[in-house]
Amino acid sequence: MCFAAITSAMVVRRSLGPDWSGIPAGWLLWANSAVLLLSGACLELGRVRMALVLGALFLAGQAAVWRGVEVAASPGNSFLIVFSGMHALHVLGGLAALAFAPLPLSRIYWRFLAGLWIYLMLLFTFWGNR
Amino acid sequence: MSANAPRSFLRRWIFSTDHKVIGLQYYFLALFSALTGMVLSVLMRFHLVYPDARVRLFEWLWPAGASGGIMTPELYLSLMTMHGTIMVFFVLTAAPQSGFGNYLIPLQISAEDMAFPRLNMLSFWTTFLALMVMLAAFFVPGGAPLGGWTAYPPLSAVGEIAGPGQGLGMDLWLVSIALFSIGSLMGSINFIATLADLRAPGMGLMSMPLTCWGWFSTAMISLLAFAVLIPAGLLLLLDRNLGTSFFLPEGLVVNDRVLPYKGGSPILFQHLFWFFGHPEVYIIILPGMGMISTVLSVFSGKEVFGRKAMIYAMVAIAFVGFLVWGHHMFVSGMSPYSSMAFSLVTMAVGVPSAIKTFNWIGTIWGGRLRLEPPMLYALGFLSLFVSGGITGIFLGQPALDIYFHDTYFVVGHFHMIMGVAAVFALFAGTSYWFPLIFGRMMNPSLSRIHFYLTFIGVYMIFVPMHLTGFAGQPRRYPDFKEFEFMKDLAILHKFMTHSAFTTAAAQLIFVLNLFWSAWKGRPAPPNPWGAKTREWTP
Repeated sequence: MCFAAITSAMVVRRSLGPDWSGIPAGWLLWANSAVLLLSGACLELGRVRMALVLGALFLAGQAAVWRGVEVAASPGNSFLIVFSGMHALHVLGGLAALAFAPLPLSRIYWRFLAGLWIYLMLLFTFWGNR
Repeated sequence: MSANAPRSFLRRWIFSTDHKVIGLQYYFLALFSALTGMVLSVLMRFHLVYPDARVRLFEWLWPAGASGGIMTPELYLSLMTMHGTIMVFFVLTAAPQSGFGNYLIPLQISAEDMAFPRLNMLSFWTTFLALMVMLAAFFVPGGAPLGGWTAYPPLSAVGEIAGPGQGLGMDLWLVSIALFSIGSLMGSINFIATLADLRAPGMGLMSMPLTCWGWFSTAMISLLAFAVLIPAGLLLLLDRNLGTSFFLPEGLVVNDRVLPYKGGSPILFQHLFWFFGHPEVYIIILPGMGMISTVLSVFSGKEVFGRKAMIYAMVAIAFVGFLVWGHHMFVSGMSPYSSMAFSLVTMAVGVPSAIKTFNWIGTIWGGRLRLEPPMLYALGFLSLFVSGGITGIFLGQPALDIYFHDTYFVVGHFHMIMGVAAVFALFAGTSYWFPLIFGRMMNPSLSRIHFYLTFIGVYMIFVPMHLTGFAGQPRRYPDFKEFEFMKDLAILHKFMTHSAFTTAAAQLIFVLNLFWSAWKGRPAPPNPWGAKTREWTP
């Protein structure tokens, strides 16, 4: 519901005026997506440590993306930061859980985070940058 | 106590994973918050009728906000904001659900504890931290925020230039609400998992006690609603601190300065906030409804009338409650067609509430009523729920709301239904389950005196508010000295203020009764009320 709310905020914001300039989804964001999905694949195969490493790498990659984005410069920038930031917070929690929680629970959660990220990338590409 | 049970004071009573300890922690956090909120409201009521009074205490407490001992308008508004925030979140959202729910759910479904005891402990301490951060807003430079518990932008989004309290105080408020929301989400997950999975064998969902249905439906809407509040608060924090323009339009001028924002919408915040805010009021009332069903049934010596309908009604209220948020926004500039849709659904959501009310009456009808204190409070709830709910129907008509919006009519309405009916459910629940929790009875004479003083007192405080609202008196005004048309209402305001002083004082009877009885009350038999739910029969 959190991401649904942000989605609806973005839909409203875009409709408010002509200043929508798209969401900056550069090559690094796509590379990070691959890293995240790879991390999920590792978890499916039971390779927890690799999943943890790749998850951390994903977060580092996201931090690099954020450093190159000026959050207030455009609404698209702002929403990219909010969406990917919220997602990253959830990933951070997931990494902590990988260390403590039972594996099946982590798998379900990781699938949710991966699915959510796929939804976000689709949203950015096909709706945000139309 | 099992061999693995913690033995240190810290692990048994402070950082405990035991659902009963956690339930009591929530309850006493809510009690402390209620007394704080009550003091704030007494200060507000005092200022409304004596706005020019010089009070040395005010000057000592708030040298900037009350220099010379006279409360400034900004101070009044910050007291109002904190009163609403503390009461809605830390009392009415915490106690009925997390207080009573945590204590009673495992006992009522014969489970060992909640599904995730450590998550439970984390959720309480997150809520506690949220309260500390909220109270800290009083003590930082600028003080507490003054934009109301609804924190609408642009006022809440432009920062310090909007006035005292809108700097650091507002940021702390937002952080506190975010923490509270996270605590609530954790609690909801726990409640849903527990009620879905840990019921005793043979106890189907439909055989679950109505109290558990109240906590179950509340947990479900809580999960969905608080998840929307978090982004609302986050986007506001970003507007305030990182220069984004989610809620702020171009060309905004504050204090002769043109602000650099572009393209945002304050109405967007209202939508996000009220999408949470309306389900929030059902989060507040649903647990109480479950508790009232129990008390009315036990003290009439009859089963709840139409038990299945009661369950369906609770679920219907929970679901339909997500579809009515626009009735808080009838005058926001929203399309009248949207207003019509929201109005129709608002009237529809009154139907399951009415079903419950008639079924409560059906429960007591023809029963042999035992007017013990819990029953008195429950009957009081019935009266107050109807009184408060009925005025909601007026407010749900867009044409009427054009007049009533932001008047004292609204203030009267929501106080009757939240500030009083929901609180009476807490009183009923407290006096009913007290013997179970403390092994002692509350003093029935003190309870009766408290009941009568409070029941009469709240009507005396809040009915006149509807009248002054009819007369056109706006809400969220620190005083009305300049308004000629309101001079004749002064007598009603004095009446309300003095009723408030008396009713507030009467709450001390309840608090004294609570603590004294826990220590020295008459020892209670195992099932003093003759109840049939499992928490009474180990």
